[in-house]
Amino acid sequence: MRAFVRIVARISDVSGMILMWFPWILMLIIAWEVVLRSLFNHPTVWAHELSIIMFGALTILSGAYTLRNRAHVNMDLLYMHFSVRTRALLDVLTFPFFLIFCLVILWLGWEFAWRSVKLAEISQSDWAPPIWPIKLTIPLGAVLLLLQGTANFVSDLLKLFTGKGVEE
Amino acid sequence: MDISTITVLLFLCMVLGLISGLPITFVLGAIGVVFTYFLWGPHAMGVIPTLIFGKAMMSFGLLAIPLFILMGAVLQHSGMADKLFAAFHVWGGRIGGGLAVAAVVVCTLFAAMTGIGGAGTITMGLIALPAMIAKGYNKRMALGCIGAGGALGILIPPSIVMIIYGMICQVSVGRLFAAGIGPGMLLAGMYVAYILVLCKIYPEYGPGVAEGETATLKEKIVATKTVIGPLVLILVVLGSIFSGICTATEGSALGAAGSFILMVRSRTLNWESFKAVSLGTLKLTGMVMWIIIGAYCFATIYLALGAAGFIREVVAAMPFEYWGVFILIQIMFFALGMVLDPGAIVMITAPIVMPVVETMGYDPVWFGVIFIMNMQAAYISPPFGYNLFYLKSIAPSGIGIKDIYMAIIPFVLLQILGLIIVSVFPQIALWIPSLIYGN
Repeated sequence: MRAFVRIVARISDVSGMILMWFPWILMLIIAWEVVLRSLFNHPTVWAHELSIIMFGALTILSGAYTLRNRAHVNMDLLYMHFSVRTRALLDVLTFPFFLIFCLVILWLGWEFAWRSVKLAEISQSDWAPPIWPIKLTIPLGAVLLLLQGTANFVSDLLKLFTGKGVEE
Repeated sequence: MDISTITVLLFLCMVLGLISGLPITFVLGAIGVVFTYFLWGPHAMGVIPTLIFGKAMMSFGLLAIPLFILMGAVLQHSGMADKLFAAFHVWGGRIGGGLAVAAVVVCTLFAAMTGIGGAGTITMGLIALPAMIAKGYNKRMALGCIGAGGALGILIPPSIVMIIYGMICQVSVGRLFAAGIGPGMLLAGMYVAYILVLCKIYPEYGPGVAEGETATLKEKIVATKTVIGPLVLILVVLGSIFSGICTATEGSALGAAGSFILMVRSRTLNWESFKAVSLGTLKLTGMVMWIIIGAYCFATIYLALGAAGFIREVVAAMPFEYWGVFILIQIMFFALGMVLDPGAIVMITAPIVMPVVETMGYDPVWFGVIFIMNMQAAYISPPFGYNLFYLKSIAPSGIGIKDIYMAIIPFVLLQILGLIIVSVFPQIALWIPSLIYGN
């Protein structure tokens, strides 16, 4: 079980090491487009759409890394005053709600993306990139989030029953 | 079930969910999918991926969020705050309360370069707070001005909450940005005036630097040079947005690039700091964007309920006029603001509040600015304001949460006074946008 928690943490860390470049790339694409358009009056056909696609992937895939660092904001008014064990207990009790949410996004996101894959859908623009890969990031993001959430859940269970979480 | 039973049940679930400590995004998301499923069946949930994809992922407007976060993270790691504080310190050190004034001014400048509330408090708390305590400043005044100054981040443009408000409520983000300047200056001015008056009456609250310790003119000029970079950055980002050369999103890319240049010039760039900036940006982006995703799942309930029509009827039936409704809404916002993230509040309440704004004839830009001023006050209000916990986390040992509560109360009162002033004189907010964009 501890091995599972560590492997998932590793997966989320790898996703973080990849996604951390996205804001920089977005910055470069958009700043480049502004320069081309305003100084040389020569905008590209792809910059706008490419930046949106990258942003979409960043948005949906960032959830797992954020959860890995337990950085999703919560109302810690009471929560922060509880003992480590009580917190672990609450996290275990609320896990089903997290699970339902993730499974729904995974299931509906997969149906949504699969329709697009079957059609080999492309964007209705001059550049016309394929649109199905970005739609596939929705179920992928849900899977990553689900894995990390489950790992946190296992870690909380261990904390609850053995009094010791997984050190990483 | 009728609509009022559902509403009560909905908010009961929300309160329980939030108290349990489950992250806000999962509380909203789970309530959204469960309610939609049980009230209307699986078919009604089909809209969820469409909303996530179309409104959250594929939005060029929201793309400004990671870039403004990146800009703020870069500046936070660039050591810029130290230099700015030092520059204002050498000029204002002799005046009673000069350091506290310098802290407010630097917080204001920082607010004009970052889009979130905590950044100013954390950076200034680490730099200005020890400096003030070492000089024998009154602990409470020192804590209060940093807590309140840091909260300016969401009011003074750029502001991530304004971007979310603009996207959800269909209001121009440029106009909102412009409308935040006047009220932001008003509040910063009120803080400075308060500090100066307080130190005039009680000189021991903020002792000035003794004659022998003041800086020479040369030192002053050297220190002042450090202000040039940040000022140029602010002018480029806000100038390009207000002049219409750039959208807010494009301005955010220029801002991130500009702050990166400042970081390179200050020689604070290395692999460690680069990684810290990038991963910090990723974490914060994940936090903000997933609140938006969760809130869209939650919003499906409103869509299916037809809440907007219901709310219009309720408002029409209420025995209050223009200001009565306005005050009720502000009280509701304030209560929510003490426990929820401002972005989440916009997302949750917009479908309810925007029809009211329309019906009552409030100016949506002015209303947005008032909303943000309110969030700011809630942000630092005892007992739960987020900024108080930031302050606590960086305060030197020996400063308890009670000190922080006492420290912040005068500033909360100043903020509420500011909110009332801008409510009564909307021109404070609307004058600058009308200059830039016309009416």
